[in-house]
Amino acid sequence: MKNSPSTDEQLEMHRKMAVVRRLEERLGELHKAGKTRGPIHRCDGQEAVGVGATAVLGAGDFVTSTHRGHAHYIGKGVDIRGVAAEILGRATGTCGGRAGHMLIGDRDKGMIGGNAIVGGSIPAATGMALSIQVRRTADVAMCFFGDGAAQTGICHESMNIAGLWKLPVIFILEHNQFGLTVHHSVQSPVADLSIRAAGYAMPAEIVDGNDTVAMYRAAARAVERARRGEGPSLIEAKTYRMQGFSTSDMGGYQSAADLAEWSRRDPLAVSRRALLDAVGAERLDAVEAGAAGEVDAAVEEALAAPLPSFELFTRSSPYATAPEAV
Amino acid sequence: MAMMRYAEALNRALREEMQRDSNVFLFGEDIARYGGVFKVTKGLMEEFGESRVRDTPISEQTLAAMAVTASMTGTRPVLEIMYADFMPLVLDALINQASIYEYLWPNVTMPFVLRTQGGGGAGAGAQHSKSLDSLVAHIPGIKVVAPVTPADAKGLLKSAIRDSQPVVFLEHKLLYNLRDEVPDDADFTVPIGKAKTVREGADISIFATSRMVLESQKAAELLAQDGISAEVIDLRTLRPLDLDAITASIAKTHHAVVVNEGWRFCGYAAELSATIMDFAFDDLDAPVARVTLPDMPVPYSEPLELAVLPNAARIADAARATLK
Amino acid sequence: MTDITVVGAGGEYMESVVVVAWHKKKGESVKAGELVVTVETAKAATEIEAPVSGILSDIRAQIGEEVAIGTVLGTLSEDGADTAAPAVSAAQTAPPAAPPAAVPAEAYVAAAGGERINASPLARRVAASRGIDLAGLVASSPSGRIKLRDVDAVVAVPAERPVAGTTASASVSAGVSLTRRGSGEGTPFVFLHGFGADSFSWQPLLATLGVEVPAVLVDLPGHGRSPAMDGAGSLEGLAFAVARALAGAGIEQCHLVGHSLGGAVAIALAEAGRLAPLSLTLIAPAGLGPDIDGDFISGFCRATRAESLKPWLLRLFADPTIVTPGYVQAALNGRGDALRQAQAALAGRIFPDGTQAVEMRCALRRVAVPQKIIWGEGDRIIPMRHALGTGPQAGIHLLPNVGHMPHVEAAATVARLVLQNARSAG
Repeated sequence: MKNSPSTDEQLEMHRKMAVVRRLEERLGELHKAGKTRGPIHRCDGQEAVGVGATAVLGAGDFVTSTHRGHAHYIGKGVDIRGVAAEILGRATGTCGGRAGHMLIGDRDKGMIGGNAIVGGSIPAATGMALSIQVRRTADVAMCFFGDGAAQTGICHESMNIAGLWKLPVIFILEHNQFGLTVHHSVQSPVADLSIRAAGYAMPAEIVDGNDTVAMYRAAARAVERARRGEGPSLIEAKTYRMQGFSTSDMGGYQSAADLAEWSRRDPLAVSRRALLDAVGAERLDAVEAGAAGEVDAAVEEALAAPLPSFELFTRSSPYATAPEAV
Repeated sequence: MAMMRYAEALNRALREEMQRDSNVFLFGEDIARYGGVFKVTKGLMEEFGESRVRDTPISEQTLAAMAVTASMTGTRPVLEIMYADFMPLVLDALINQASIYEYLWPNVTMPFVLRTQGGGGAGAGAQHSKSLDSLVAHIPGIKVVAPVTPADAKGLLKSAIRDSQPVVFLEHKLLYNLRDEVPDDADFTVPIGKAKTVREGADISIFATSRMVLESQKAAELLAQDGISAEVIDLRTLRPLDLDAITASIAKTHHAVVVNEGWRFCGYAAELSATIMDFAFDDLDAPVARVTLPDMPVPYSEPLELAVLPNAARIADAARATLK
Repeated sequence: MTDITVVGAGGEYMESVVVVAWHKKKGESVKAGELVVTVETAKAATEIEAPVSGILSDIRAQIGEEVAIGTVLGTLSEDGADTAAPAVSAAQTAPPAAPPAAVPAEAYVAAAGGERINASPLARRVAASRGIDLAGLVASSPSGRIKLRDVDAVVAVPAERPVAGTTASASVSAGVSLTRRGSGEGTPFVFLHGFGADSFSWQPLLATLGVEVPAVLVDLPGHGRSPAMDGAGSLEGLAFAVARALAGAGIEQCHLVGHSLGGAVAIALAEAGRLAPLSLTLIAPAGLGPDIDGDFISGFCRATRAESLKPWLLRLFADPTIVTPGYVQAALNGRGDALRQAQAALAGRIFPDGTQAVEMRCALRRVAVPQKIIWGEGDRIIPMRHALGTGPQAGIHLLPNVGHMPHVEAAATVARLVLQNARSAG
């Protein structure tokens, strides 16, 4: 069983995290400049969870995500140019500007997709795992959800069904400490939600969500288990939301001490330290600069790209022989 | 052709489609070992195995969401929700999930069927007797069908399973024992989006859904005794609506009664009425009449329940009033 | 103040009436003897005339309301102006020469001037396409909404066409014989006889009506002076042939009176809109139910001799003394073998197997002009119960001790009813 990333894989994870970080920072700027629409949910500081877990997946595997999914999108291989253009509402976006940053889906990449109904990603991945089991392939479905979504009824229902039917699904609980603006201690009586897995006859582990290598190893174990037909796993990835709930969040409820502590454990810094001996600072600098350049180019390209033109979606017309739009 | 009950016709449709396509599978409460509360899925687990015919925990919200994504990833699930009254539990899956993805995401289809049954008349009380057609028919991207005859039940279910879009398949608890001729042909289907004129008439058009079609046919008999020639149209598909059938009939009769077993306010009958106004206003010689459940819970005791359910006499009364 | 009440009108066994129409609006002046309100009993519509001249100051019984006999329906107050016209009974009053517009007897109060006109979308569309001003229409529906039928009831009033001569003049128009009678001008009465009869069968009625009433007597194809015609072997075919003939004779507006088969033809004519009847009087009409005396039809068709014809003719009348040897001989002379065979063929299509194959009840309901149905209680050819279920518009008059031939057996009553019906159209 392969459960440790190679240096190249580790460097690629580092690069993807750098891409996501640069994207989040650029989106912060663009939002302030009034060039984005609606709220943006940044995942600064949580990049290692999505990038590390998706690094073990193949092309046939499926990922479902949340409203804070940029690291999941990039991790699963969705083109940064499509993502940037989608967030900027361009015709060249992954979904032609129809979806926006919370709902990006790329069927060809197995990323289907973002979901802004909190908890929605959990039954979504469970359903995909059911499809995989009925079709008898060795693929898996992986879902990301937060500690807020863990409190939904569908989280319980999905894990129960997945455990009951031994569905090939990996539940990645991206525990960033906050559901909306409310700390997890005000939302759940237990600090470690992974203890619930016992109730679903499912193995679980708590992982440092800011360490890509740890994420990679845990995900690899869970994915292998699922491919063997032994059923689902729960990975509780402890991390921290460095930015507010969204760009419309006024903040003020996160303590300075917590922010300083988690800043010290920034996943990019952790990754860089882990790779420094093996590849050297120069190459890491080059990778990070390349990632930043790639994002900047994607953003510039998106800003120059045409806005989409509206077309009525007639496939959902209420009339069998669609008259002109009513 | 073979004589069979409505429930058997559905069973036949499921069986034929499962034989035809190994990606078709069934899941829902009580459907596998027990064969379904209304015996629609009887014998199918034995024939197709436990992987393709699954009993589920009582988790409607999740089951529906799973149907959406299972259909998005290579299978054609048929989910049974035991009572239409439980549809509010699955609305997130339909409204926030199934309804949006074909539009948002390139190359995504969702060929799943959600079967359920509703309606009153069986003394099942306020939480097991409703017709919530309007809740689902309201949703863009979801098709809604409601067959009345065993043949239509078979043909429409087969079409629904083969459709690339989500289909909510509305059955009625009082229809399961209805017996009629059903084509044996494995290729027999009934197209979605086509209404059926079940009685031709010249004076007034009665547009009805589900079991109300049978009541409307009885109403037409009553009206005939008064010399009123009523046309009865079984909509069969609630969405997408067969607009041509509706406008053609009104162009002939200039009068319309719409009948639906759901609530009146913001109900399916209200939508039909508005649709008629949108597309046939200048053909109307009188306002469209609605015959529906009153806006209250379905009571339990027989005289109370019968007092709220639309029936032939009420439909006939509405027709007479419209023609005055 | 004078009350308008119903006192025993409409016949025996009557305890209450339903108000069908007010013909005057509140505040309108009314002359004594003028029609003010129509009420309906289980049997017939009754028209109530103003007992004195005055202003209709109060309407107490609303349309659709059921009121007991003797109830005050409304009141008339003195208007000061002394019109002082003597009361004139309906039967003595000649029909108005030229009705200004078709106003159904059961007219409901339409929107007053200046208000939005209440009309259905279809009525608006059709009225606009025909250039009809909705303001001139009166709603026939209790809702007060002008419907298609009200628009259809309107016809452009044609230039007055003098009816030729005071004596009878027969002509053949489009293969159908039309006989004009009467000296009076104005809207003619078109008479359609029954199966096996001909235009002569109206003689007793015409005698009662008097020569002032302009009449057009039709011989249906295959009857009397009209030969059988290709394409006139069905009810629609008969109606079409008659419509063409009347159009050819320049008759566009008329009062329709039909007996038996002629009644069904009259309904078909009115319904098809090929001519514009102002009123419809049906005497023991066909088309309102499946039953008919099949033995009579076949026996009558077979009969070639007085001996075989007489028993069937007897069945037509409640009073056997009408069927004199002379009457039988006249009937026999009235049709040659060719006509007899044509009639047999027609009966085979319209009354197959002793059943009325034509169903005109729906059509009758769509006809929006004043309607009366007159039936003999002793009718043995078509049961009088067919008069029931014809809808709320038709006034039904059941005549005791009368068979299938009310226009012969009770000519005076029928004449009065025909004129009353025509008058209510104006």
